[in-house]
Amino acid sequence: MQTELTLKRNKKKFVWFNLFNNIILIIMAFLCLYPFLYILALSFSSGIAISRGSVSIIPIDATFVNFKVILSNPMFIRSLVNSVILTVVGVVWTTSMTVIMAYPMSKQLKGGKVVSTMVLLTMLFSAGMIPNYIWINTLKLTNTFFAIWLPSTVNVFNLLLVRAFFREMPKELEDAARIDGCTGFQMFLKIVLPLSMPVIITIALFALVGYWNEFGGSLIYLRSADVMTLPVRLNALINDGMVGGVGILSPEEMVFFSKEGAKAAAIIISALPMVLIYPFVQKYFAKGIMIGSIK
Amino acid sequence: MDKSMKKKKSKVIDLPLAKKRGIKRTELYLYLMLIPGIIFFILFRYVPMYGIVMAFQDFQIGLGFADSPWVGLDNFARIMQDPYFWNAMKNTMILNLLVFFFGMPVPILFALLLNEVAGPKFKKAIQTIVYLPHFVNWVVYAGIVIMMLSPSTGIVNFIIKTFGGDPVAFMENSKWWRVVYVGADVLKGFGWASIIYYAAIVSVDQEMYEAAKIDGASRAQRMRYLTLPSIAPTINIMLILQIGKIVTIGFDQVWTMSNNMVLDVSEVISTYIYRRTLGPQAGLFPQFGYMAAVGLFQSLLALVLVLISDRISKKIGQKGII
Repeated sequence: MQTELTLKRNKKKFVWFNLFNNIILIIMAFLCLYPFLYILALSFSSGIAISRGSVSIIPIDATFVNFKVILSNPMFIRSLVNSVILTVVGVVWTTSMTVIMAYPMSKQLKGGKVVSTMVLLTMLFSAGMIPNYIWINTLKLTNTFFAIWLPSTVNVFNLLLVRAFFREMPKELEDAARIDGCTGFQMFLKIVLPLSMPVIITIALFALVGYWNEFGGSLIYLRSADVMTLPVRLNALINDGMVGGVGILSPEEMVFFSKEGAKAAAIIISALPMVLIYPFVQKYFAKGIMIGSIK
Repeated sequence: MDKSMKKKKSKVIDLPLAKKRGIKRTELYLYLMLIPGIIFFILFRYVPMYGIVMAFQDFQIGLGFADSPWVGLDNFARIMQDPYFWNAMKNTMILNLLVFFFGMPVPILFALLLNEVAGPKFKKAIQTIVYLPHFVNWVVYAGIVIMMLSPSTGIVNFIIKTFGGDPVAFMENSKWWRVVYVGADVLKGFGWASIIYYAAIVSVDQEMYEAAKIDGASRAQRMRYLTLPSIAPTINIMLILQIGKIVTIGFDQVWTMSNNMVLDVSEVISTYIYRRTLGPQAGLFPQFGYMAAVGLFQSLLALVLVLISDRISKKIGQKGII
């Protein structure tokens, strides 16, 4: 009788605990999501509604004019194209160079320790912003994408990640391939690489997000308008409000337009690619951090 | 055809010898694969370090390292008397400490709560949502924050006005700016930071929970006496890592959120270096030498702190961090 009572009480407690727990989690998740919902609503709202400040979560007087203005701004489009080029080439470059370096580093080579030390030391100490700038400037790389690509060729964290993956590969696999007459390099291309797709995808995605979101380096090295990337353009646009010409809008459309709305539209366009892909890539990322933390 | 057959044959027959030779040949291509990476590290990580000599020069871009006048330790003596530098150093540490105290508990708390969720779908949905801010850069996030807090059009001030308050210019008020900085940092980062704690919690032996349950431990008790101790090592490592980072701060985050009205609290070392050399306040003759000295001073300080935190970590029986 008594046990039944405690069980009942426990169950009641259990339900309350769950409810409380889930409500806190929902609040936390909402706080994370809300800023994005707000800016999305703003980007589709009319200038009048925005200036009243009353837009909260649903667009008011829904309109596309903000996107129309921002997408007809040639400087914005240029930076969008630049970011796509920077990202696509950068991902291929960084990923392949990292994998190529990680493979020999996963083997017991003579002099391998020296290379590892050389790589790891760069995590502890770096030249700093100004000496790096002077060097890139000496090489005449400023205002070219190479100023971003070359210094980010190999990321130490990614290198260690791929090396750890290669090291866990069964040795028998390579022995078998060697007996079958594979040369070392063929083995790398035909056996090791296809089996390493999970880790290669992981670091490629790291590179993808990294290049698309890159800001500091672009701000320093890509200053002229024809090479400016999206984050730098967006930052300037948020600060100075130069969202683009409104000449393309008809008088009726002008009523709906606002600078704030166009800024919101620019933010949405910049964030959209990452927001769309991240639900699919987050598991690779989470795995990446875990392997990385074990080192 | 014939030749290759012979080759194969000899390999099979004379295994020890072939192995001896084969290893050398295989190693050659491995060394070749190393070369591009080594060139990269030398060219873009070590060669720029040579540029540190300009911290001891009155460096002029037109003259280069060879002809710029040497000034010995003058630049470092100047650092000691530079009020802007010390203000930037103070701000760097204050912002880091604030983020540390307010930001550290949130991902741990979140991971603990998440672990108590029964439904896998609900759990997955919550996780996906809280990771979202991690995937946009600070330009986007700071842009959103600035627009939400705008005194004229922002939603936050709309709510304040609705309740009869006066609008607050959060981004232009030094006191509020710090609050906003820390809030944005926590909100953008806690979900992602929770991954490592959550993984530590999940790896706890489930049988221990069963045993505790049978022994009549309540949920709160299990959380307090089982889950929390199990992630203590992870928390320790994270705490120690933070010590090493106290004088370094992300440039993007501070730069995108700050403005000229709040420089007294928002100027940190990295933004100070950028502003005075390559940024808007560079002037006609940017003082590269002095600012390189500032950068070097910061890097050395950071290095010492990392080495100290590594020592501490090893002393208390954890794995070192380097």
